[in-house]
Amino acid sequence: MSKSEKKIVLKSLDNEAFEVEKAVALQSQTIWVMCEDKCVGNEIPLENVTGQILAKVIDYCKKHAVVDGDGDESSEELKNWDTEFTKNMDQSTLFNMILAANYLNIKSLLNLTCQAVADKTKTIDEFHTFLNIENNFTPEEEAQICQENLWAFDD
Amino acid sequence: MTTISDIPRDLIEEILSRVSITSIRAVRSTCKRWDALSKDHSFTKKHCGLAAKEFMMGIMTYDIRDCLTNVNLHGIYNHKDGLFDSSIKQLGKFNLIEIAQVFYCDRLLLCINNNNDVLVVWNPYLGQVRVLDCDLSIHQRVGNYEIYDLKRNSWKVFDVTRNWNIDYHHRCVTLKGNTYFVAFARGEVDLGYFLVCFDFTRERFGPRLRLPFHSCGPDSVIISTVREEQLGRYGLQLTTKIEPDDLSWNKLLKFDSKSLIRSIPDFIYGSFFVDEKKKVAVICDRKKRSNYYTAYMFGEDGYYKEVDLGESTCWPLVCSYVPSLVQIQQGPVPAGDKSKEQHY
Repeated sequence: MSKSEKKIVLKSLDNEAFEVEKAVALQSQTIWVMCEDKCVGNEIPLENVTGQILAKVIDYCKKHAVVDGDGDESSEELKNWDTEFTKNMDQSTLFNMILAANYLNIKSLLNLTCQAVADKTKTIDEFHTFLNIENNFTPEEEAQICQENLWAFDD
Repeated sequence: MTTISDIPRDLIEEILSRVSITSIRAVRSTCKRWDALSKDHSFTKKHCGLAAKEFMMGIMTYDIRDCLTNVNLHGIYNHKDGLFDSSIKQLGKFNLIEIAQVFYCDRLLLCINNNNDVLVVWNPYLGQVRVLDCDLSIHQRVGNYEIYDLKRNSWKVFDVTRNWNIDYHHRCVTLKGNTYFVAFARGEVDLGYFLVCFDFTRERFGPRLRLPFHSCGPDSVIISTVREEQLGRYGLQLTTKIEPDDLSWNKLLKFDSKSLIRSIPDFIYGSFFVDEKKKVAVICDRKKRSNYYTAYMFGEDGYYKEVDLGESTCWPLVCSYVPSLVQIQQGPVPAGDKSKEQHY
């Protein structure tokens, strides 16, 4: 395989181009299928992902790619890296990452980002404020729900 | 700016199914849509597989307000510095039914009232309660073994030839659809206690199952479940193999069993919970000859704490609660499900 065949160009919604190793990009099942179909050249347009988000997705894939002679990263180290990766992401970025991971079909990234949102929301207030969801219960309905679920303590 | 409203339902399900079981009340109280989603079968199945695993169901006791209560013991040993308020919260009230006994049975809670004529089958996770009127005292007098079939709403009697008795002071535990009882041989009390398993598939008792220690006093054994495994007292042993006719045991936590016995005076009606990760055991039992109960917490690192639980008119229960997806309210129980109750 020549050097150029090992590389692939990913083009974002806002026309930003990223040249990456094929092994990195192929963690996305969506890209893998596109490459298999040979319906695209060396450049793959990703119409649902902005450049800003795609850059982060590529960072993740680079870290998780098993490249020749570079597969000895311990799972502990990877886990710590994952925690740091999502730690400072704001809510909007996390949601965009979830949508991108879903579209690109990268299961481990979808798990990671969904877990990150779940970890940031534990109490009723956090659900209302962090996720900005309106409480549409009547006071009676709310009391009923609360009563039904008293067995589950908030940590 | 992308918000939660841009996220399709299947991905919201992905996020919420990763929320800890202790936050399920928060999820359900957020909005109507999420309350409905959180009770949907596709969500509950995913949630139980991912985040809603084991959870210590505090203790349920019967206080002066005539209701079951839940003590947040989890919070106490999570905050070993002692700053945590051991909050006691109301658990539920079943139309003024005075609950006298609570059992944890294959992921469901089974409550029996004071007069022994009402059974409440409760699935807290799905918020379903089924009240059964059945006079247990009649069934006790007959002395037969019977199974209550939730699907057919009827008792089924079956004959058992046996040379042992079940010891009613000891709690039975149910796991993997089978119920394990502490039993002793008739006229051979010195032989000590052993376990017998009732296999609901074959509707019969299995052979005697040896405990990993000799026990002949009435206060020498308590069994409980850890996730889907089983425990005996004395040094806290964990079963490594569980079949209706075969058990093998392994030491779970390293405790000085003598100090355990010294600390806990009565140990007859007790129940316990083990947090394998934190290496902590929480044992709940009655103070000698009283209706006052205490939770004793032991850590492998020498951590020890007593928490006064106050007076209770029923035997408190501390258990390792795992949510159940079994529908108990209406309609037939799904095929292959063995969530029948037993009485004996």
